[in-house]
Amino acid sequence: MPDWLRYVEQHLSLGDCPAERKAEILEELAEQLEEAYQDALRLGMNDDDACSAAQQHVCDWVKLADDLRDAGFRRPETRLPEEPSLPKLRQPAFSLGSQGPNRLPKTAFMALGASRGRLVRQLLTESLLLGCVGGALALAVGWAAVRAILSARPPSLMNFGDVHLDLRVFAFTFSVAIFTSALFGLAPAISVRRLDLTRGLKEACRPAGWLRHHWTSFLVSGEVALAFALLLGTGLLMRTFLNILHADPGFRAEDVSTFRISAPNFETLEQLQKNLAALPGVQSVSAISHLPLDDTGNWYDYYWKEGAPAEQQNTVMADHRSILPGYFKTIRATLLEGRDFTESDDARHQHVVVVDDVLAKELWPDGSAIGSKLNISDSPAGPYQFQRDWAVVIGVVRHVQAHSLTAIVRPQIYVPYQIAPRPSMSIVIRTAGGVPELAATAKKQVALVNKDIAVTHMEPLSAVVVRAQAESRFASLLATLLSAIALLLACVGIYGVLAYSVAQRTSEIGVRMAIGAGRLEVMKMVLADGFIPVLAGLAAGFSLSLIVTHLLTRLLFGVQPGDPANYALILFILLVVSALAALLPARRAMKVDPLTALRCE
Amino acid sequence: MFNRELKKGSAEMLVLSFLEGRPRHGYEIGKLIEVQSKKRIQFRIASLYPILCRLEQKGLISGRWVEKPGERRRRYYRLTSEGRRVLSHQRSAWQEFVATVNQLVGAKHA
Repeated sequence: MPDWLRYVEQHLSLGDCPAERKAEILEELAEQLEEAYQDALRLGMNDDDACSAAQQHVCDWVKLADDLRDAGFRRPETRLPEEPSLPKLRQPAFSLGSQGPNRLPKTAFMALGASRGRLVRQLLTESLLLGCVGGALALAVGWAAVRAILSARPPSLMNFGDVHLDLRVFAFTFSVAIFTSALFGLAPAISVRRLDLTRGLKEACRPAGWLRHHWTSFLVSGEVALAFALLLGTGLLMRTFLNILHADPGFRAEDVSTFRISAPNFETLEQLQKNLAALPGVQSVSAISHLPLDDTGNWYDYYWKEGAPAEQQNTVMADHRSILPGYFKTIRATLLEGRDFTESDDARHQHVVVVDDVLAKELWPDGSAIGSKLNISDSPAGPYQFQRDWAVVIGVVRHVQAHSLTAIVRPQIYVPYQIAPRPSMSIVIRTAGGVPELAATAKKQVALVNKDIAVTHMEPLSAVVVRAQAESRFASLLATLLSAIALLLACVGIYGVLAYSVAQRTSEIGVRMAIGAGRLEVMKMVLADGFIPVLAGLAAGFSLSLIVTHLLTRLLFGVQPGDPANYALILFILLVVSALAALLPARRAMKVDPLTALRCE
Repeated sequence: MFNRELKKGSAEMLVLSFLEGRPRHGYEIGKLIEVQSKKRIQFRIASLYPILCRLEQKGLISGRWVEKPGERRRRYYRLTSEGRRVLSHQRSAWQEFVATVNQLVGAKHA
């Protein structure tokens, strides 16, 4: 009599099924085989035929194992008996290849039993779920980013209103997330509607060729083109803001301290200038009505040169600055021509003026401005008592940035305080390095000269420059952050699309290796194939960048839209990212066991 | 021989109904189905046994080993109260389904 229990034990492994339950199942199956065997004998069969008849009851052990798994047991396994104990019985015909359809396209897997509508719902649900999770994460990051950015914004941007995440932002974020999710979920869902199951199952083991689908090439090219234009734009903006931070304002603010005093007269100012200049460590002292880059109310008017026809007399405007002698030396503005004012340049002598090079070039483009006469408005009788007057140009100074670090809003003229007194003036003191207690000492000197004079705005001149740089620094920070995000997204996008395309060729690469292709040859092939859409994308991106840079032209400073270094850097970054994106998965693909790849084919 | 899908859909109900009267062992259930259906429905062990496992897993039947003098040990299955309830429900649903189909088929030929 056959040992049915042993037979069952050798043909059916129940994996991690509990030992007690396993024993029960094996015993019960053996008992049923025995019943079938006995039945066959009772019907008059000989022993061999009865064995075969019983064995027929479980001719498909793989199916039995699967059915048992469906019946509630996890991972039952079938195995071939090492030593068939029942040589008379035919071995059950089954095979369970180790490779299995583990790379079956999900849609084909699902389509084995699901309706197309169900598949579309499934794909859309997945996309929307991902979109919503992404949207929620984006809001969390956005919330943190807004807080961080607001804490870093300069005072000049404090009045832009309250910036916070509100219902509109939530609605917009989730609308975008859901729209894009639905869009990109529908694309595969629509393709599922046209799904060819046979082809889908075949492609489980024989994936699509390299960029066989046009959309994949299009995606790679599009990603590269957008990344190129985006990175080029942000690169130009970053360079612009860095240039602004290092822009030459036309003076040197280091080691210059300043404070503002009210209602002085020339004698008081002159006395104060002398007293402060006598302090130890002080190199020079002067005063000006408007500090550069300061936000004091500006004065400007029309100016014209001698002999200008009436129609040209109200065409050139310039900022009006009242100064004491020694101002240019104190702030280290560059005197290009002529001389600085002296104490004798007062109302009793020839009225004189110093102009900046911008005005000089505008009014006297063909020659020197020195000695020429300029019609100005001054007020020798006292503050606000303006009158038109002719003054002789005695000096030309390099333009000092007055309103911003980059833009020349208007040229400037400098007039001696004696013929253009102002109700308040800023004192500028250049010291040799840091002078301890300078602020207290300066205040004491002011009180000594006139105890009724108020001292305000005591600060280093560099603080004024820092304030002027604040917006640019903030913009630079934002541009840097956006550039970093753009670079990250571009890298991830290009890597994702290219890596996916190469990964699709895993088995093809394995087969090529199996039939003798060298690693170098495979690398060359992957790079060559991968770089075709990348190069197409770069060409498209170059065209796109011409539009982007044209739009940015007015925002740039110190860098040309077609700056070759910028182009070279972005090109280098994208080529490196593309090469890595193609080579990393290709390296993985080359490690695939060639036999596995061949079996799949 | 009946269609395989039809058999698959009604297999659990068949097994439950054969356990309604008294406990039976697996092979006996298969043989009864085969005999009473005049061999138009046949369940091999590979088909029947997972059904028994599944029904037991669901708590609709419960199995226990029985040893009788002179016989080998066998596993007998009996219907649980939950199994009885499910069978009753399945049976009425089946009868309703068959009646509806009969009505439709009859109407078509009318």
